[in-house]
Amino acid sequence: MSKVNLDAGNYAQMMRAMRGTDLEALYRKPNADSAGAAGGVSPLDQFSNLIEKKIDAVNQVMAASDAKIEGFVRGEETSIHDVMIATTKADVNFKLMATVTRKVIEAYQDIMRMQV
Amino acid sequence: MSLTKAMDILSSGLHAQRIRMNITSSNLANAHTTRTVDGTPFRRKDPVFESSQLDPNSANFDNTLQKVQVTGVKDDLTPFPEVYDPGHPDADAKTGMVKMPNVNVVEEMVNLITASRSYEANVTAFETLKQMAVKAMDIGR
Repeated sequence: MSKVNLDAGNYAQMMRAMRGTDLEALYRKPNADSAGAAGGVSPLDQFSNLIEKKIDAVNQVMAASDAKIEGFVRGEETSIHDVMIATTKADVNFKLMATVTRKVIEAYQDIMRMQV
Repeated sequence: MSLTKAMDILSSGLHAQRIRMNITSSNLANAHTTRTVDGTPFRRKDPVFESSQLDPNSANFDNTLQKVQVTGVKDDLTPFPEVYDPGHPDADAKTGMVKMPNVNVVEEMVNLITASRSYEANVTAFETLKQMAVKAMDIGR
């Protein structure tokens, strides 16, 4: 499973993926092309799979940092800077995931507020 | 162009400075050791730093990134200074001279300060990286 890459460029890419293409596909009429191109997976499933994958990746980074802290407390891991770096990576990853999730929900709410 | 790469490079720098600190501590503690396991006085040691490529296959000029590694510890080959001290247990029977370790305490203190400042510099760079990442998330706020 690919790790979440942290940088401004990739954040923008993720935002585009969530606000732009996939949301559009979500509200487009599912036709034979889009379902067939994705191997029979509907755009709704594509979107939830994407979210799941990203959350899984963040979870892995956080689990790795937890393991490092545990190892340090047990005395196996002797370099404290390794522990702090793992904690920082987990922290930044989590903040990024929280920001992106909030943005996605805001976008959804924006669309729901539109008058019919 | 990923933050993870920069973090790994800084982590290697922190690790290398830590090793240098350890070796300096060993030199300082043994500054007056006139007898080691093989009978000679303690010879001071230096770490050997080498840069190695982080990831040769990456695009975007990231294949020029180098991380630092300690590839060995080499002995300092300057001759042992001799001190006249006939009462010393390790003194030479005929001349009364004792060979002291070639550790200059002042030089070791300078190495200590260098290692400490270098460590701090790496930590500051790391902090800055983290702040940049958090700031980038403010773009959409």
